[in-house]
Amino acid sequence: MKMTAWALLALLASASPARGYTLSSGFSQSCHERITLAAFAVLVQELDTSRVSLPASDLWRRVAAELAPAVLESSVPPAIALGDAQKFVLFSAVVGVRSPDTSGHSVSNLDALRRAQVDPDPQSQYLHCLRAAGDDGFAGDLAVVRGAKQLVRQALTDSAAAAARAGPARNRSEPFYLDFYGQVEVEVDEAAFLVGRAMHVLQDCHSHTLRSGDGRTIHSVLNYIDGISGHLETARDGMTHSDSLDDCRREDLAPLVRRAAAVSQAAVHAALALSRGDAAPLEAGLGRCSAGAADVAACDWIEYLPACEAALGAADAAAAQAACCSSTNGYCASPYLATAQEKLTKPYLATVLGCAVPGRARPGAPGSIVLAVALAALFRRCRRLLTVALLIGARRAQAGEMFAGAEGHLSLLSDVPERSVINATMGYALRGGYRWEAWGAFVLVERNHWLPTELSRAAEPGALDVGLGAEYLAAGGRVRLSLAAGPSILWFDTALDGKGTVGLFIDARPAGLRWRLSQHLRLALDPLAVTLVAPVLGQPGIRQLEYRTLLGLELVR
Amino acid sequence: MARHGDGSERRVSVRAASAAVRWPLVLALGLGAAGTAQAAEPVETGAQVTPDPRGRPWYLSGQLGAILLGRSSTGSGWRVGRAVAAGLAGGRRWGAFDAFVVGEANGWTGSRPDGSSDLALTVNLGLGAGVSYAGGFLRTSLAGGVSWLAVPTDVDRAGSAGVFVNLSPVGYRWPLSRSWVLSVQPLSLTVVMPVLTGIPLVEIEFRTSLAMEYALP
Repeated sequence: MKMTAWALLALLASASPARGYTLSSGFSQSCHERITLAAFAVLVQELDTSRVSLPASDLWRRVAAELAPAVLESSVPPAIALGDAQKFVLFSAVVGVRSPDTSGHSVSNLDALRRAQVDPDPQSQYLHCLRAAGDDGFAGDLAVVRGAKQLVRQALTDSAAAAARAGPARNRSEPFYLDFYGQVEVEVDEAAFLVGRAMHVLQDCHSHTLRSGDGRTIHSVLNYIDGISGHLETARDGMTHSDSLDDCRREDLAPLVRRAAAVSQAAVHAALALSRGDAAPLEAGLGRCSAGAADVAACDWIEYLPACEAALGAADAAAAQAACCSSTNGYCASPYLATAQEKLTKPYLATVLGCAVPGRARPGAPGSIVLAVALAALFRRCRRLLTVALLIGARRAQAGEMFAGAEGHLSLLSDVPERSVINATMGYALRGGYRWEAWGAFVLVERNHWLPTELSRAAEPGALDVGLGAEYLAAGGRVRLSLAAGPSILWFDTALDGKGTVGLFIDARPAGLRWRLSQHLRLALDPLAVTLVAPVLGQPGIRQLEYRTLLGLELVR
Repeated sequence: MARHGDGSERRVSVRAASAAVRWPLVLALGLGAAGTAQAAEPVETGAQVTPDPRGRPWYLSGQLGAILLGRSSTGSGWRVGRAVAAGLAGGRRWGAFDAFVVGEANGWTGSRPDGSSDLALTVNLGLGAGVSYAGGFLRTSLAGGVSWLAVPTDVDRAGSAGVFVNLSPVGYRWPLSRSWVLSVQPLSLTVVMPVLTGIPLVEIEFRTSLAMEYALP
């Protein structure tokens, strides 16, 4: 019954959701965070944290602890002992550098992705150093360069203003998506958060532009919005966005990644200087390097080809044609051209249905494969329980009909409209009770496993649910309706709550089908049932609304 | 007396038949009913025999559906009635099987970054097929067709066309009179994709629906 759901899941899980250097998630590796933390780590001991105000709530610590395994471990040298204020600054910077890509939503929230990535507002494209829909030709390159510079200038200026504040006024709340909880509001140090956002722009300006070999000069700006729409004409719209350029672990892109890291570090320097009233480093960064400049990371952050810019400034079309980089002159021999022509962005359906995207496999396996592996593991664990159920069911009842069974369940796409598109859960249960003709009472014990998407893709133990319920057999026993309720017990430590937290479990099965396989054996299928698994009832809480498909065997005596 | 349970013999008694009219309301409240399982055959009500409308070849149907409960994007909030659908269907039966044409308006709301609602509405037109069983008491159907975006989201344009699919795994049907049938679909899965270009607009709905079916003479 869930073939439609499976097909859709495969479609959505295998489509590329990320732009720019990748974020750490269940389906991609940390690039933005690694580069940002490396930039801050070098300067972390120099940071004046006397004005930093630690939040009263320790929510940020718990979220940071959740983030740490994915993004922190290889970035901060273990020899550096960090104080709480320094950790808070680093945490805020990481939230900031993730913010332009997620806006606090799930990395696999399709609605939010559409809103962020197909937004026709030019600023939303410049935030990723990409062309807006109207940025055509060489002038389009220049519009992006200027737009990106303006965003960096604004973010770092605002950061300096925030750094001048002290106490709680220095902090702000930002949404952050936690697996199973949804969006939570976390306090961040606004100054560091804004530096993180500025870094996002700077870093994307290295993954979304075709550059010179040393990474200092932009030859051409890539285009996502026309690429994803399927209407891109290279001569007019520029080159299509490339997923390959987003991979910070490629050897051939190492010079660009090193340049992005150096520029990010220089941006932190500039932010610190700006907070002391010195705007020179920022202006230098957003300007051209002077001849013989010693520190080339402190300038040329986002610089377009000088001769081309001059020709465009003079409105000299012929000179621009000669000086600017395009397909006709091989983009001025950029050594990254071949890489930039791999894994080009296409409309999602064309990508999925075409099934012929060249290049390496995505670093994250499609959700369907992950689910298959998780289901296989669950099946192995379930066999023992099935045996117990069969033994229980074999006991003879004194009167009426005793029944016992085992079942498996799977839910996909539940809550998709405003949550992670891959909201998958699965599990197994024992169910036994007594029937008086059509009516029955039963006990249900189930394990419900959850698949995360945000920072890992390893199935979590989820919850142990226990329910007492009543059922009714209709249509000569061919249809079963049931309702059960009881406690739901969190079965692992989450970022915010401990194992053993108890909440509520409600299981409603409005139309299940049953088939008689033998005198004592029945097959049961609930094509769609709805279950609330809410082991954490507080705020923020875990309330999984699962639309399940269930299949089970039942012994009756 | 009617017996329930596997392998048991059931006969339609006057008492059970008269209960057929009451059962839908009882079942709709979640208590269930078995007394209507033979409804595709002639049903006795008192002294007269009423032909079961579920067995007649041609029918028209009006239906209303909604997502009763969903989570909000922020924190742990809930949203009631995030999506609704209203439609008409007409079809022809051949024994247990039927084919139908369906048209519906389907509206839903998403959330903007500022927390306000972004409304979208599609007009879906499609063909479907169904199969009835358990004496016409149960029905499974699948429909699909074209979906037009009539009221676009903030990032779409009106008029784009895509596809929709509706799978109704198990629905209950009760005859109310000589011509009318009440149908309850506790949960069905509808996938609407009115925008197929770029990042497709995908709306997934687990709906609960109610339908009134009129059997043509």
